[in-house]
Amino acid sequence: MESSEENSIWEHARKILRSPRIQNKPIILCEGEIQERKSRNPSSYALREKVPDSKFYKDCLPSKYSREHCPVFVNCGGRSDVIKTFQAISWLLEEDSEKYYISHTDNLFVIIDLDLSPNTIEEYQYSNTEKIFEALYPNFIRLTGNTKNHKIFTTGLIHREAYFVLPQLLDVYKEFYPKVMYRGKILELRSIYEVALSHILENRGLKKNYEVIKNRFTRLGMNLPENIMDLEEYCKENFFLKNSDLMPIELLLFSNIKELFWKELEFEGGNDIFLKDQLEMQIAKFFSSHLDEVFHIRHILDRICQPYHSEG
Amino acid sequence: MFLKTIKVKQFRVLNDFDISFERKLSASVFPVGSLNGGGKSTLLQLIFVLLNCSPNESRCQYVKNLFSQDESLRKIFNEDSQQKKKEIIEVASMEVEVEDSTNSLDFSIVNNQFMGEEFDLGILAELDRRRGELIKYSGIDISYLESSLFSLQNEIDSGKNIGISEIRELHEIASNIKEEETLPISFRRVLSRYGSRLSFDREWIEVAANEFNFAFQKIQQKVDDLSEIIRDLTKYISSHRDKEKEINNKLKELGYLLLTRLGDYHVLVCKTEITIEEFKKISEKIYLCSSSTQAFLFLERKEVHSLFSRLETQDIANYFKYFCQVLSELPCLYMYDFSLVNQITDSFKKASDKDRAQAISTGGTYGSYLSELISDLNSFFQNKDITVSPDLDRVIFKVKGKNIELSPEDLSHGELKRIGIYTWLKYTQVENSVVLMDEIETGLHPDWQYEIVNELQKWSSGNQFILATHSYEVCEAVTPAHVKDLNPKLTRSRSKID
Repeated sequence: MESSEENSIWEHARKILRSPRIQNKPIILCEGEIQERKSRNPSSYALREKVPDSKFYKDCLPSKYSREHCPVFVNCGGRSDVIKTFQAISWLLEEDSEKYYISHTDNLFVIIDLDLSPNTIEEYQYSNTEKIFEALYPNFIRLTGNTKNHKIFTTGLIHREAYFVLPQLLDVYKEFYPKVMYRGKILELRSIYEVALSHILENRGLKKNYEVIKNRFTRLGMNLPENIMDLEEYCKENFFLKNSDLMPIELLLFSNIKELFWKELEFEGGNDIFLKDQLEMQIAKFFSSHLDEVFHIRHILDRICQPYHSEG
Repeated sequence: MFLKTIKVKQFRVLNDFDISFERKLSASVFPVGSLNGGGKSTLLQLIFVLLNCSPNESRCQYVKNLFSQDESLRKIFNEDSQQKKKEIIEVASMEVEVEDSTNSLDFSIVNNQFMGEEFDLGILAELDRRRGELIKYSGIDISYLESSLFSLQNEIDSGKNIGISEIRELHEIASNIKEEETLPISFRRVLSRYGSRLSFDREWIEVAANEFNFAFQKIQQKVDDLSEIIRDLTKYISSHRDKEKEINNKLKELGYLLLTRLGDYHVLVCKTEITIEEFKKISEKIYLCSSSTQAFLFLERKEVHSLFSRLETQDIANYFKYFCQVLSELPCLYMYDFSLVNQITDSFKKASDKDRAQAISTGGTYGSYLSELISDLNSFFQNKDITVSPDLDRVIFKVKGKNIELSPEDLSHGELKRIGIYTWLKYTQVENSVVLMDEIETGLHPDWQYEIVNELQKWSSGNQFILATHSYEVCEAVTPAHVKDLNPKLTRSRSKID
């Protein structure tokens, strides 16, 4: 960690450790733009371009955790920056914990996207994000792995936006005002699966990491075709036909939902980024009050917060 | 009910600004921020007074108090008719959505030469003054007092000896018109022992009986004087009511509702298409929440002043006595601190009354309102139970599983605030309303400040919350588009909601 970019990671790690907010609480590092915290007042918040990315995780918390030992969520940049910040914090504490508000990493956790490519992790029990994914989700849909010793959690779907297209959210979209539009029409969640299928060959990341994805599916007992050119056909035959009434969430292990869906969403009568933020808040609230085995983020938060809650 | 926009032309520090609250944003919680002294609380109070107090005659004093707090307006009100310069002073405009239709309400202060018409506003001011006088006597049934004095006179004339019952009766008449202090000291001496087990002091009864005749005549004179005053006031009001109606009608033709008289030559009017009855309905859906030590602009200045003077027990006591009266006159005013115990005990009283009413109507089966209320409130705390004393006068908390009793003051400020707001919203059924809350964050841990925003929406339905706040955490619970900034306008890098 020597470049100027990495210096800023060290700087951010020190800032986190010097913030009194982190005392006696779980600290969860997550992806998202690092917030410059020169002043924290209503005016500075009103001038923000977007809600902080960590807000989504905070709003996913069930209300029982939201007052007692409520975790502190900290945006740390991209996925590899989050991992590096986690490591920087660990090293800083090893070096001299006296200077900071915490003395060990017991309360420190990470939530990151699975993504297509594995991210290497040094000096951690799992050598990369793919290995963490395998340990946490041995049966794909459910987070069943023993999480007791886990500090770094990956999503069980490709990235957090993939959870936004789960069929369980149909009512959230239906009830949202103004109406949510996708590619010029009122949104029908199923259409995103069709778009995802038709874009398989345009997904450069998928082409590059096809071996990784093939391995993901082998572990689930599915053998993806050797040639990526045959993947669309394979998905149609295996995913859609298998459960014709449900949407094939297997697609959410590799489709770029963030680009294909979330970035393209629009709203009837005019667009605004804050409407998207608002929708994201509604989705988070839904996860905070509903349990389903595929709502992995909610399960991760439960596993992190539960021990603190029983202590309280 | 939804307040869509407010524009303030000029009122104290609020100078030519407007705010829109967007219906599009599904969380109807809008934090309003500014520096200290930037006008957040002033804005909430202005909205409350204009929308809640101004259409209700009985609350006109609060409107007058508010406007007298603006120095430039105070100067204008003190001008005499020859000096008047401006015929219309725009105060504020609001758009309020009621059941899918948007109503404009433009509030202005106008003088007696408004829109080329000559209005005799002096008569309105005089009517106001006399009505105010008459209200002071509203609890007095003068004909009942006159007939009581008449029968007492007959008894005396018939030679009956003056005893305890006559002394008591005259004292009662005197206290009805607040003149009991003018009665001789012997009356008080006799009555203080009346009903007690102490033997009557015969000597004092004799003294009182000797002084009775003089006291009787004095009280009779007072009742006669009062009767004349009330008669004159009633006569003036009824003979000038037509004049008032005429002014009202003239204003109505011009599209204005007559609201409050401000001095001899000015009135607060509202240009709108709704009727005064519709406006009154809106007013019952406008709530203000704050803490009792806030310097409210709509209270009597001298009373608020006493709160901020050197601490003297009597002044503080007088302020809170006055404040109790204000709370009884303004049912839409809720104090986080002051109203708390009353709110909870009232909820218990109401629930217990409902149970009893059900028992009567069903022939003996009590309802479950009280037990449901207790279990609802108990689910609020992790480690405490809540109940009230048997006389429903005191709130008691108990540590779960232990027989340790706690008083409200033993709980944290934040815990009390949360339970108070919850009980108030839920059990006074604050729904489909505009709720103006000042500094909700005070006493709440930053995590609770974030959470309270979600809780407000969970605890009530259809309300719009406008929160004057300094808290980043309160704002963080919604999107930046929800947050309204009263600080001098900066150029934004992007437009917000259209």
